[in-house]
Amino acid sequence: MNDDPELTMSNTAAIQRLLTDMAKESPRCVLLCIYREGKETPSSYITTGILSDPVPFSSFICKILSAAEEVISARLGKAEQIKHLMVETERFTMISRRLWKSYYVLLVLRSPVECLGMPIELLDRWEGTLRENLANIAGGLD
Amino acid sequence: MRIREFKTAVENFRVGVPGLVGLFIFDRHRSLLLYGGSDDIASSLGEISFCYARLARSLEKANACRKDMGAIKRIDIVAKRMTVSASLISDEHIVIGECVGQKGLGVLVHGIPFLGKIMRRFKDER
Repeated sequence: MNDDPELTMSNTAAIQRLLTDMAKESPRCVLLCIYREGKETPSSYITTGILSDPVPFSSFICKILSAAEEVISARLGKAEQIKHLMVETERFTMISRRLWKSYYVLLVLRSPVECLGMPIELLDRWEGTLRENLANIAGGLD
Repeated sequence: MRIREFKTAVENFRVGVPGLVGLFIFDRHRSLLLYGGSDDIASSLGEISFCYARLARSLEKANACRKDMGAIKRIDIVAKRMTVSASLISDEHIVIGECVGQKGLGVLVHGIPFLGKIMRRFKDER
């Protein structure tokens, strides 16, 4: 996992543009970021102004992801990667989706999200484009 | 509602939700299993309960660290072979439901609020 090429804010301008376009389609979105499993600081992110610091969110979801992976692997008796994780708190709804290697996208919305189908559909629609761009950029750093 | 009636009500719920493989209710402060029913023949209820008690503890820890986000109400985990949904149905209780594959999440999420009602009835009548 940790051998994956490292993305930084400086080499992810294209990803940030995609995240900005994606956020425009989700009115309750407050943060969109690309993070790596086990890394608490996001590789790339955009916020809509309500949140200034993405780290508490990426760090929180990283911890939940690792706990979820541990539990599912123990439950199934075999290492299992989490494809999709959703955490709803009183103030925010966070949806994380695995994109490529150890990279994940995290969408943070203000709670309550009246129709969860909408952000899930948004992720479904953008997943391929994000994955492709991520693989091109990060793959080029290999 | 007595404990036996409570268990029957939860069991009826579990059987009535298609695709639901296991359903567990924990006292979330003590990670104590109050109810557990599973169709899994490969793992014992004790083993399954141990896994989810660990998840309940992790959620409690995460909750305590991030007060500014508000308390965790629900978590859905979708892996290749299994979908798990954990919901807080009261201040004390957490329900964990599991389905095989990735298609049972909707059923699980929509069904769990009914368990909250059963739980409240059980508490009120005790």
